[in-house]
Amino acid sequence: MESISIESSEYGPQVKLDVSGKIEISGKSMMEDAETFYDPIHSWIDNYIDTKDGRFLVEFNLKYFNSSSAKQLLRMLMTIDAAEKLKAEINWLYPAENDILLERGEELEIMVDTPFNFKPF
Amino acid sequence: MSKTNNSIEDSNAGRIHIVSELRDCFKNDKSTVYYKGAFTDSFTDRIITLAEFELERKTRRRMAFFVAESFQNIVRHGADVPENDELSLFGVRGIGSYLHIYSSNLVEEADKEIIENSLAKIENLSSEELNEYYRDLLMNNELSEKGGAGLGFVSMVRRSKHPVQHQFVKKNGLYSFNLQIDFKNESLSNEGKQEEPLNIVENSNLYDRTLEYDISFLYNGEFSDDMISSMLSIIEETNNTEANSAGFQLYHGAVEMMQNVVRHGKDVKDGNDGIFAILNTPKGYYMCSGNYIKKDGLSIVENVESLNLKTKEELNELYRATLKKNVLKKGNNAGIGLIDLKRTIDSKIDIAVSEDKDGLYLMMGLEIKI
Repeated sequence: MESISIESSEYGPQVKLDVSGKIEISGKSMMEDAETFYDPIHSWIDNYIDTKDGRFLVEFNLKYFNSSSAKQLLRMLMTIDAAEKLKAEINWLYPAENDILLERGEELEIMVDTPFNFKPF
Repeated sequence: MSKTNNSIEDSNAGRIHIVSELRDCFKNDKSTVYYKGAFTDSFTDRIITLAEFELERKTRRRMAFFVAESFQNIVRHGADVPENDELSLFGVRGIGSYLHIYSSNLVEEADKEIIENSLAKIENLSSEELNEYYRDLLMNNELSEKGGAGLGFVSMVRRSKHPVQHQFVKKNGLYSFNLQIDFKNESLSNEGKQEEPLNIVENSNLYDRTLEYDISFLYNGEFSDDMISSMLSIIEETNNTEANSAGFQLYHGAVEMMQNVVRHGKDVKDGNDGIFAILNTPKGYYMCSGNYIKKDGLSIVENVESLNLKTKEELNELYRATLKKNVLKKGNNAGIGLIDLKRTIDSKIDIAVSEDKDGLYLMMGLEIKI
């Protein structure tokens, strides 16, 4: 399997999927058809879980995500959560003045078992 | 976008009807854009995209020229008073094969005279006389202190092939200079119909209404990805939408409401046509959207009314439960858009449905307190 990098666009975030065990998602995620955008990312994660184990870091640095993207983010987190071979860690970066983005991260944390590290900047 | 404190209407339910009334005025428009506030050059592309997405390259270049000239005119002649940003308005309307570019800003009496003189000189010139006058101006390099010698106006008339419509209206001890450039989108057929350009008085009357209702932005037309992206860019460029919660609320409200227009309007006649407006309120902003819906789309009214009765905690619980229920289902509908909007904005969602010959029209509005 290979590392994958997706450049950000007007509607889509920048995504880096690294075979060393790190995922970074940053920018805005607000496409109407979030499912099509996130499908290859879900497949990459499924493939990673099938072939690798150990430490796995997910870093979110999202400025904004819409409701269609929220569904895809939760799906991704639930998949990682269920992977017993992975020691997952989630970093949630947010602007210090933006309480809503912090709340959105806390909310996702409630819905999965993997704890989040909240990092204001 | 500029904020003023002259709202005459404090009821949010009233604001939704104001936008609905304005929509009636734009019924024959293919697209309408109104923006009130400080102008920056970066708006040119956004405004052109919003005004007419199907422009051919040549027409797009002409339009860019007129938009830039209008902006420059505002900068060149605008009175140096704080209220100028609040009273400066820019609008584009596409009606039939015509595009109308309208601007209004405050000028001082001395500038009024300069502008009137420049316009009087070219008022009744034939196209040959106009070309000759243009060459004379260039060769004599007769630039005024304001850097124009009327060259801008001459270029507008030469390239639009129409006289420049204008008015001066006394306002706040200064003059509101209303200017309208009319030009035809040659790529559009008007099926041999005789068309007349819109009279500037109509736009000026609408301008007065947008001031009265403190509307800072309005778009009426097709809601495609490009349109939404242009509107969001304008909102981003005029507000700090990333750094704090209030900016996030504004951005979130705009995204969800615009995407709602696309989502619910797409199966109805005329595709994704809709309206989106931002009004200033004493507490912040009132955001409003409208689009046609199918008859079975009426369940949204009941849904919104039920969400309006819930506390923030209840909304959070409902959001999580709905998201978890739908997370593994195929498709993009997470069923959480309205719940998320209501809990993020934390104010009542107003909703109004009306019916006309084209079907059911749904309008939604909400206030964002800053």
